Amino acid sequence: MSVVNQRRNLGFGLGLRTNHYETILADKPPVDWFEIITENYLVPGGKPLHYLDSIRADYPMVMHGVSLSIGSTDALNFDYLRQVKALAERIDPAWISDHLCWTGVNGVNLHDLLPLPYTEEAIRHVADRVNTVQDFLGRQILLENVSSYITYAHSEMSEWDFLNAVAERSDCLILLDINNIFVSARNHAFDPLDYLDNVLVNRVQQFHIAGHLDLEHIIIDTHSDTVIDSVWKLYEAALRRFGMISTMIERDDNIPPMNELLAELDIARQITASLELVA
Amino acid sequence: MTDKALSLNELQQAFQSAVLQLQDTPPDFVVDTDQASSTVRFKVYTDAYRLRLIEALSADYPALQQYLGDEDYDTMCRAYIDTSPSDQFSIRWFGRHLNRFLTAAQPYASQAEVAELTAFEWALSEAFDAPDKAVIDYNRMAAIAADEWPSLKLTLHPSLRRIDLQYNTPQIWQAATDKDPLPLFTANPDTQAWIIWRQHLKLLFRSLSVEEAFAVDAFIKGESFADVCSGLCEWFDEEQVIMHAAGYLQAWLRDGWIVECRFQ
Ligand SMILES: [Fe+2]
Repeated sequence: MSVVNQRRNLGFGLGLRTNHYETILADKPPVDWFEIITENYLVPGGKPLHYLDSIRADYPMVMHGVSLSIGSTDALNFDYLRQVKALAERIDPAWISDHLCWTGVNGVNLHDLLPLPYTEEAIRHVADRVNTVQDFLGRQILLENVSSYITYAHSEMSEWDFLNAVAERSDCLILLDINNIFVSARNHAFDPLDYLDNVLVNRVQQFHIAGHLDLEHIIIDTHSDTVIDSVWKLYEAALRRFGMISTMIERDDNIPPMNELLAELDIARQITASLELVA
Repeated sequence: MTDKALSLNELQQAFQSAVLQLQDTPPDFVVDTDQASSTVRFKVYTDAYRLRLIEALSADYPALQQYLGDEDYDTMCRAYIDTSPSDQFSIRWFGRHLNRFLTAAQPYASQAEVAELTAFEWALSEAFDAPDKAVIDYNRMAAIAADEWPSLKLTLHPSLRRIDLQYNTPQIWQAATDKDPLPLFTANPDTQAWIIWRQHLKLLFRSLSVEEAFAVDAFIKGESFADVCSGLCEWFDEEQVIMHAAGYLQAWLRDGWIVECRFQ
């Protein structure tokens, strides 16, 4: 068994969601760390920041943004970046991530994670901007592979080659979403194992796993349901390749009580334990 | 036919306008697969765009949603979405122009209660995550020297929102929040002044008498205690004015509205 990834391992985490705030503070559930949606806490005050600070006192956290729009041809939004940096100073996250996508152009935000064409032009564009962002934040960032529903006629390479090239040229890290690989593999008819087997081992810092909505002809990445068996199998394959990587379950809709998510997190723990990986 | 030389910027312009304009046919750089046509695939993005924004509006305007009913609410949201693309990095602010939209666009412009409910719910949402600020207590006010009182000015809590309502809107909102059937909108004979604010993380609102509303508005405008007292003479005898003004200050301390006393 190859365990080649030497990066910091936080263990098994969950997304921090408002309906769990009170339970977390009262019961201190056995979650190793929480991932926050950065933008939810870029507000002046009140409950969001109150609960954030209280929960941060008990748990490590990472920041996961949705508005960096690293692939947009608009200028980078430094007002946003300043606020991200200030929040990072407040909660001292283990790391900061966003998505390998674009979210709008001409100053419009579509509030969606839109796919980029896999071209040399896009690699150069994104890598340049990641460099600027990392200089500004004073740290490496992680970029996540998004689910996609369309392919562009002028893409010149596979998604994994694109992801690797961006990471190598900007020296950033990868948040590998196992469910998104599964979703995109079905939507674009490729083998998810080909994806896994080609992602650079030393670039991967975190995993996401999640549920989705299968409409047969297309799969939608909804984060509204439990993780399915095929995604767990893919997770196991990912562990074999990348070693023990900080793993987090995303649930954004139909959010169940904390206990159900803890049970799901235990499945991840069991799979990892069964592989006897060195953390 | 696809254009190999399509730049990243051209792609994003075409993609975005197809989403915003709900274009029937996707841009020609979107590829069909055996499982799904380019039209079906691209529709995932045009649908998701609208659904996500409708969901964001529902978080801010639950009572409006209940009042309009799901179908009319959906129609209203889609009309707003098509006129007001988001220009903020956070979806949290997407609904901030809804009141302006409903005041201008038919059929809503002729239903004043719809705009009023929207204004009320938006004020609540602003109070929810407005800046934190420590409030002062009775002791701070008791320590004010007699000769300082006339020049006293107040800084009120940043969450405070002062609105005037024509209808029983807070009652409608309360019923919606409690999941009760909504009462009918009824217009008040006179405009009613209200304050919405946050105290110990809790959202609160209460109505104000005409006199108390005058005093709050005057302090918000930066007037001094002496100015406020002379203004209150419109309603009270001169000997009783100070007593009434002191009564307001006491209530505002209790409600956690005052964060600072300033003197000049
Ligand atoms: Fe993800």
